[in-house]
Amino acid sequence: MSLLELRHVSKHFGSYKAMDDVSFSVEEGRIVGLIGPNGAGKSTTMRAMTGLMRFDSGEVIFDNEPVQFGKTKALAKMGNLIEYPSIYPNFTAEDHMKYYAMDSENPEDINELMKLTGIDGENFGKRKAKNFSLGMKQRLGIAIALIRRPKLVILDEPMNGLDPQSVREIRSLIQDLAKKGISFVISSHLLDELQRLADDVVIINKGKVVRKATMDEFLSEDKAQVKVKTSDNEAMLEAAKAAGWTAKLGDDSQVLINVEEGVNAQAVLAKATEEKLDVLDIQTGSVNLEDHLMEVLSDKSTRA
Amino acid sequence: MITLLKQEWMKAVKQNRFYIWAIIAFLLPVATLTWIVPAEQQQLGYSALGGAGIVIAIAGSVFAALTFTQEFSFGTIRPLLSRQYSRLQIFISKIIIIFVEYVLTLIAGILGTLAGRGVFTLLNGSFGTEIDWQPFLFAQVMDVLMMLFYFAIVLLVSNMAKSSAAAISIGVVLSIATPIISSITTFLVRFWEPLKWNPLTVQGMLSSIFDGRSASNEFIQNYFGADIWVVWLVYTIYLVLIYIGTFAIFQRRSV
Repeated sequence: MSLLELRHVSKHFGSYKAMDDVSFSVEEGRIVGLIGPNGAGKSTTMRAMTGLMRFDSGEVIFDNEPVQFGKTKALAKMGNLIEYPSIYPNFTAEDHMKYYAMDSENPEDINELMKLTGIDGENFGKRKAKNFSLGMKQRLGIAIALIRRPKLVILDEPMNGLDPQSVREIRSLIQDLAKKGISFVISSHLLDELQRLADDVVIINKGKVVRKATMDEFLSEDKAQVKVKTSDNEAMLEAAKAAGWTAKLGDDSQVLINVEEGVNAQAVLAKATEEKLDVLDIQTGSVNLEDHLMEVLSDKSTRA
Repeated sequence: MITLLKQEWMKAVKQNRFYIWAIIAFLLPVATLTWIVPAEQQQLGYSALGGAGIVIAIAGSVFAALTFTQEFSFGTIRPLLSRQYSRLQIFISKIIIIFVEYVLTLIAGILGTLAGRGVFTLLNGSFGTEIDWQPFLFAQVMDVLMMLFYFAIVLLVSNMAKSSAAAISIGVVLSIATPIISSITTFLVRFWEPLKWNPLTVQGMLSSIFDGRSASNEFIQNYFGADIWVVWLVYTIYLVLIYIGTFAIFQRRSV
């Protein structure tokens, strides 16, 4: 049984489909990266998971209990930071921790958690939150999400405003907590960061889950591409498609051809020669998360 | 529920510093009753808590207006609602703490009035005008009962508009301009008599009972053509309906 399960959840705002039959699950101790462009439905999905929003159909099950608007008993074991850190300006970091710790019978040790998230010390813990930088607020938001010893933590853009050192510290903290069995659902625009952090990936576009896989599976789906620039890219694309290859026009006047069995740089070169096209440039590159994500998002077919 | 009350109390003290209003409510009557209000008018000054009455009414409106709107403006509404508590529990805890803040501010005003009288006595060597306790205490109880109406309206507006400015404005206008509103509604009643039962008129008429004496009761009974308890019952029904309406809006709001 998964710790969190979304089953066919849909949400419409008028005629706009914010969530369209969204289904995925989160296993214990796994870090799930929720990825998608702006307006794809990531925050809406997170709001549905935390009982903040009514959805039209489907169900959200967390720790064997339903979560829906007005039915939020299960949320005692969930921490979240959605969209932006929520702070009371006249509270200090310590006040925030004490305030949210009241929700739990067995909260984390406040001093230890403040130290772990880097919000301790005279200069930080005792300062009013209205004087915090975005990065400090972000750290505080993460600490708040962890105070109730949650089984699942939902973090929306947790690395926003953090300097590289802080990003590294927060990444390490999340990984350590995941090893202890805490699950995370994290959305981020910093795809390199997610690539390092997430065990599983769920890609959302236009309210639909367009792909879900482990990060390793996802990245190994398209290991490499041949990027070729010829005297006539349209003709090269036609020839590649006629040969049954997966190809498309890329940015910067290139034809991108997926490396598959029998398809490599040599074969592409031979095909160009056969078509009497001048090859101006040819490269083979491995696909990173960003490239692959762009490919998935532009792919009309969904392989979820 | 206890946890929610503790959390709301923490916000009242640390975030909103309601005690500043209570300090003003204490100091104002000390100053006015000692140095400003003439000795022969002190009885009136006592009932108005030496001018602190208006301050306390405005403070009550501010407490009510901020309780929801600042959660929206700080973005804390999401962590507030994405917890194990029901929205009804959250709503009730907020109303209880608003009421506690208001009552404590009122008590500070009453203590300030007594202290003002004490200082006056020390400076002048006489007690000045004696406090007529019955109308004095009755006026304070009436203020609390009328404030429940302002709270209801302010909470309704703040939940509908999510704007503390709009909610505070409505609360202040209602709490200090009741006579103006009453005259407008009285004027409209000429055109259609049942209009006299509108909530503003009912509240306005009841708030005119200053001393609980029979004369004002009789005036209200004549105006409405009903026993005074019927008017109070209608007032209570309006209160309940406005609070239910406010909760319904809060309950349905996706954040």
